Amino acid sequence: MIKQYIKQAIQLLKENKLVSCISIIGTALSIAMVMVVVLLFQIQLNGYYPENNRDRMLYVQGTEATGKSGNDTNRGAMSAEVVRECFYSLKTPEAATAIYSDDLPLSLPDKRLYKEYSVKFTDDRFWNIFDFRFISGKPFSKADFLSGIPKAVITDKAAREFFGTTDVLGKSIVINFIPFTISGVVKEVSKAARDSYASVWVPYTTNDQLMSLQYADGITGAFGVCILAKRAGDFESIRKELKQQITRYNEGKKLYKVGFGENPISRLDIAMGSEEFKKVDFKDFILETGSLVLFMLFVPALNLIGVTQASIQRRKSEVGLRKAFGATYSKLVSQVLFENLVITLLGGIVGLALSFVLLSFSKDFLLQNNTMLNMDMLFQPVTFVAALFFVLVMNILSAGIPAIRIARQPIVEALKGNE
Amino acid sequence: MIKQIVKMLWSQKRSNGWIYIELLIVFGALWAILDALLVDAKTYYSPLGYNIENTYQFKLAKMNNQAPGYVPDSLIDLSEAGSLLKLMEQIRKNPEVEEVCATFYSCPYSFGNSWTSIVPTEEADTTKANEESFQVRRVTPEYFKVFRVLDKEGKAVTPQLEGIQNAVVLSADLEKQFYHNQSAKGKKVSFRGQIDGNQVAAVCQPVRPSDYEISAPCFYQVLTGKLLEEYVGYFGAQQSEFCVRMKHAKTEEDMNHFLEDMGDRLTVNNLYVYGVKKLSDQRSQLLSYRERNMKIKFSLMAFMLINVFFGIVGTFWLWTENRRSEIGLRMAVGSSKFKLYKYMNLEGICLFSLTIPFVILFAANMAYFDIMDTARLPLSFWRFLLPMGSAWLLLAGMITIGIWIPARKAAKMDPAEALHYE
Repeated sequence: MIKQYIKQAIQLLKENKLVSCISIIGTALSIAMVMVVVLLFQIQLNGYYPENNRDRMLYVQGTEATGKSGNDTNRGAMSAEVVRECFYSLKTPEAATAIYSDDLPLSLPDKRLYKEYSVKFTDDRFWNIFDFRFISGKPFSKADFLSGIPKAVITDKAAREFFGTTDVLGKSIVINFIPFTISGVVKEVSKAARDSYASVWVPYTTNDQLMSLQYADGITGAFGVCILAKRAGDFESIRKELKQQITRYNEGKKLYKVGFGENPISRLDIAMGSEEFKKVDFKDFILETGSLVLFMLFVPALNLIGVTQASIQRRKSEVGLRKAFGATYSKLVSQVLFENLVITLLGGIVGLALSFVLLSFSKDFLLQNNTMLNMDMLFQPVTFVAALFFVLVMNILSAGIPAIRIARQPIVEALKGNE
Repeated sequence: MIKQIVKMLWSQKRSNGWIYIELLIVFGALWAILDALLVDAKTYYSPLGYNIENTYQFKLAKMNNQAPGYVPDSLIDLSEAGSLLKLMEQIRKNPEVEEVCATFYSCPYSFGNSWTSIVPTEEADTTKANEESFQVRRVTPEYFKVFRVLDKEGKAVTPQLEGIQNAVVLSADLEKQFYHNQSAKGKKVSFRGQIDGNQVAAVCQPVRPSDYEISAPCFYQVLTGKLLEEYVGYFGAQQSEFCVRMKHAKTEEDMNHFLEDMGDRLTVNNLYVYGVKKLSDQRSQLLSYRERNMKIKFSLMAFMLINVFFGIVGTFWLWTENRRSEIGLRMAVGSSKFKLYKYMNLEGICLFSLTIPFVILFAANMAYFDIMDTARLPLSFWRFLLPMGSAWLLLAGMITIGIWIPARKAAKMDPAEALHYE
């Protein structure tokens, strides 16, 4: 039976080439637009090099110091003290790391230069939380971090730009007059991996200004924190333990108390648009993105309804005949839907391909400038499931009403074949 | 003629209905997008009150005590403000540099956002002084030259500041709010709790915080002498925004070379320049959210227009198939190819124009419930006509192109064969 439907659908496609083309391109365009939205969300949500464990991660992007008397607040990032007292001592998660990012010029020992690179000041735990591929060498160790030894990890790209080779272990680069010994070279990272992206990583203990930067009773400072849970299910118990840590820490404070608003937030929250103190509810996200997606499906669907309607009306007598010989309502509806599915599927395949093209053309304004897109970011099973889902939605939107209409027609009228 | 077309359209409402709904939705959405774009464009192209062409921010830092070349406190003979002024002087001397200034959380496109309350001094002790806060920009006198800030008459501001202690510069809209139609120059304004007041040295043109915002009353506090010492002492010299206007445009690489050539002149005691960023880059970074938003709007517009094109082609293609007999008849009684196209196009435009009343109703509703952006551009006849007219023209153009394809096919038909269907 299905074979019969497919044959019929293909015959119909051939019969009116222009209209078929329009239907397929229309569907493709709509699926492509929707898939760009899906892919952008996916780039935010799913893990890829070196943030492979995003499903187990929690993020603290905002820190708030509130006066114990009065109501003045100081919002920003956290000081090294808060990192140490509240996060390094957490027992439930696998690890927690503190990160400060800056754009700084890198110089050679014998020459001061001014071209800026992205530098991350962090700790040794950073390397356990993110899965960097080391081309050579190794990260700075816990001992290096604790004693503030100026060692640096650098990307292969930066190494090539600076030294013309990736074989740079033991060589020195200068940041703010301090020479750092290169201890490891890693593969370049996409800017979309915001928490791990940099050209150079160094221990933050080497920067005494960063260590001593603090406002509001030593609470706010420069750092954000990423936490890696042992299991995704641990999020609640981590939040609970953190709460205890905060209470304990605040007891020792005279003027201010620390708070993190809705933080720590999960990767899903970030993908839905949460940042710093602003947390986006699931409901708001669905309302906003859902209506955009629906709009992008609905406008072309209106086109297709018109076209499907007209082409089915021409087969009125055929439907009447089938009905007279006992075809049921559901059979007729499913036949129309199935025939239409061939068009939408074709459109879906073209659309999915088109969405990759669209995304790489428009990535400069949709993502950050010069964001590198790679295969494992885009080609994930969920991409194809999502595309198929939207194809089916499109199918029902565009052929549902014409199918029901024709199947409902009284036999006599249908057999007559007139409009 | 039009009456007849409307009648025809009504009789075929079943097949035309879907495309009509699509045109209605797209017309409404296009109007809303174009209206938002009009407001943005109108705001964007009005004067900013300053100019950032060829200006750069030099990034300052203090040397780490482990760094080679670190000067211990005991050996430093200058105050922090002194070091800052010396650094400014050293850079100003370079022939490629036009002017240098320093600001605190106040340079254009910085994230700085300090607000404080001031009142005209004569009202300071009366009860009618209400404590309204205004944005304050704390700048050294050269600021007005670096960013080409002019007074109301279009003259330079910096020379007018000479010899005045603790001068302030009001924006024209703040002058209007304080003194109505009188001139503020030479009058005094007071900060909270201050009795003697600061002299208004000049009144500058209205200042807009960024390209997409309208101007708000604000003022400049000019930092010289003791006041500068006080602020540098409080924030630290490395926290100041060190802005430089170059005489000629330079690329990023040129600028890096410029700094490399400056060598030791970029360091005074422990204060040094570690990097540079172009203010226009900072501007695009700050406005990237807006630009992204605008590009998304344009993509959606393109998407909708293409859809309308497809919809019109599809609908009228089927129209020519279903009405072959009618076309044949028209041709048989002498309708030319062009006339046929004109007729079809008129029918399309008529169908589309029937959406106008509903879209006007939608727009009126938006205005009534105050959903439109009236803060930046007040409602007016033109505000409605311009976006609505452009949306209409765009869609009508799309329909005209779309109908041309099926019309060509219809015109190719042989009248004898077409009549055959009758």
